[in-house]
Amino acid sequence: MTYQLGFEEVVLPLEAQLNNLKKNISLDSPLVDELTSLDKQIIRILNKIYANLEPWQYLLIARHPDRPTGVDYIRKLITDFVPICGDRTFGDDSALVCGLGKFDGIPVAVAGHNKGFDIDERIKNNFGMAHPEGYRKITRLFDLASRFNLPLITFIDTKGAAANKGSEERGQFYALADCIRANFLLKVPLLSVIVGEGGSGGAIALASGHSLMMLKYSIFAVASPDACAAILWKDRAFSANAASALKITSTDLLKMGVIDKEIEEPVGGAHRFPDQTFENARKEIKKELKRLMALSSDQLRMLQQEKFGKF
Amino acid sequence: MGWFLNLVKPKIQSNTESNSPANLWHACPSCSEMIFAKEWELALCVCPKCNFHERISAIARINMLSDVKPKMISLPVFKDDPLGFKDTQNYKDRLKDARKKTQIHDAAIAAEISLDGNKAILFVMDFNFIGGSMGQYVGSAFLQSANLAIAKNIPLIAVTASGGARMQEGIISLMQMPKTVLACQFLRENDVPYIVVLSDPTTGGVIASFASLGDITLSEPNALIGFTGPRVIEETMQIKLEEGFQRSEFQLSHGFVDAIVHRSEMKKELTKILDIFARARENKKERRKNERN
Repeated sequence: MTYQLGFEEVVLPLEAQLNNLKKNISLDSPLVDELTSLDKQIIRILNKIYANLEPWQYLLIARHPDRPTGVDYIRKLITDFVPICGDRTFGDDSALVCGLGKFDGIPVAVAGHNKGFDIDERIKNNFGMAHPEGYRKITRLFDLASRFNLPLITFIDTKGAAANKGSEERGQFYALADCIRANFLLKVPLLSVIVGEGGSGGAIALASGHSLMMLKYSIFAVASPDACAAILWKDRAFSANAASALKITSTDLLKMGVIDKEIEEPVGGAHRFPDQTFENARKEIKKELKRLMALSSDQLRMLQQEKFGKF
Repeated sequence: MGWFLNLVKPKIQSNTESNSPANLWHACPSCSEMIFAKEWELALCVCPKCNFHERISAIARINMLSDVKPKMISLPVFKDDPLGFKDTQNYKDRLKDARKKTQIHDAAIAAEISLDGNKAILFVMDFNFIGGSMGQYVGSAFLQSANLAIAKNIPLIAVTASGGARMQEGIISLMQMPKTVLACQFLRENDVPYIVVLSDPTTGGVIASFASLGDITLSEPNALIGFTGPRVIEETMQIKLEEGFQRSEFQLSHGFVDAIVHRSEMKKELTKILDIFARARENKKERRKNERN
């Protein structure tokens, strides 16, 4: 069975019907009209649902297993990809994919979370929660990017940094702190895009650069609302309350000056319309990259000092 | 409480009624040994029998780490409760209660101290204030302390005690991580020594930012130091962690702490460190002068 969002319930049978029709239809069939009207009806219902989403529903969309994760944006938007693997200390972390390549013809360095698309890959990648090796690899990438004038793009989609025994033994806290510091050593622009979940320290380590954008139906939070509910309400059943109280949506975060831009996402979400979402992201990244590449490294640092000093 | 608590107003209130017989004795929270209260205070709240280091207030800490009367630093104040946060209690009320309980404005205070003639800025966290959690006030207090250390060209010492981010300030508390790391970077770029003293517990967003970036990192014995707390790891991994996991001794052997220092030795150790840095910096000045000539 495919994953379903409860609040999309009304539209799902219609979508199934539409897909069925599409499969069995020829272009001259009299059913074409029916197909068009069904399509319109679906869009109408989606518009209604998506116009009134609560923060906890954003969270569910951000976590949808069909939603493109960080690495998908690398695959779609970066050409001539050259992988950068390993932290030269312990190992490689497949939860974070790093490499060099070209964005719109411009040589860049990129990183993106990979939550994984089937269960085996998800387990291998620890569901996109990176270990110290991942953050040390990022530090390596940032250094490389600075020295060879490669603007950086990071695609963030993580619940947070790995929270397991091995990570603690190998110094997760130091890897994170050092990775955040690497953000302030950059001589090139760092543009970060939260494409799904922007969770806690695991996200901020890749997002303390010069521009932070968010897809409309992604979230950014100090702790996952479930964890927050468990801590403050002592009950995970209060996740929806926590999601509202924490202010996790792009609209709220834009108002607070935490993010620089919200990237429009088609109504119905990236899990339904991935190509349109990739295209929207490409356009915004292109604009933002152009703006940042015009700045000197001193100006870039000033930008960071102003931004992070104000909170 | 003892002499070291009385140097700075406001006073910390003892949690037992004065003049009652119960006040004469203190039960060690770890080994339950009954210790004469006066003796407990003189031992800086460390159990003479089992060496348990009890958590102490930030005010007590500042007073035990200076030769002279510490000069309190006024720190930037912000509007309370930026998000209008309410869980089982209003965040505003939580702050009020914590202020009443601890007699400080938020989970950190700072002072200018002197150890054997060497001055330093001392930034101290208080676990009693909403778990020592870091929100806007704590992050700004750290930045202010770092800036002051740079302006006065004296070392910064940070004594940490924190469960992590101040959840009630949402994303603003997360933004304190890059902010405090930036402050560490300022210290580094200005060659100002930065010494960290980890106390029990230092976890979450605090250990994953400024608390792990010291030039020298000391720790009190048996302090819990880690990104994710042991209870969460045990729950998510369905395992039982070994005794001592993430404690100071574990972090020392894993390479994340330079030395474990008993509370009664901490002042002496910091004095030694400040002296080495002070002399080295004098020599550096001298060398620069010679190079110019």
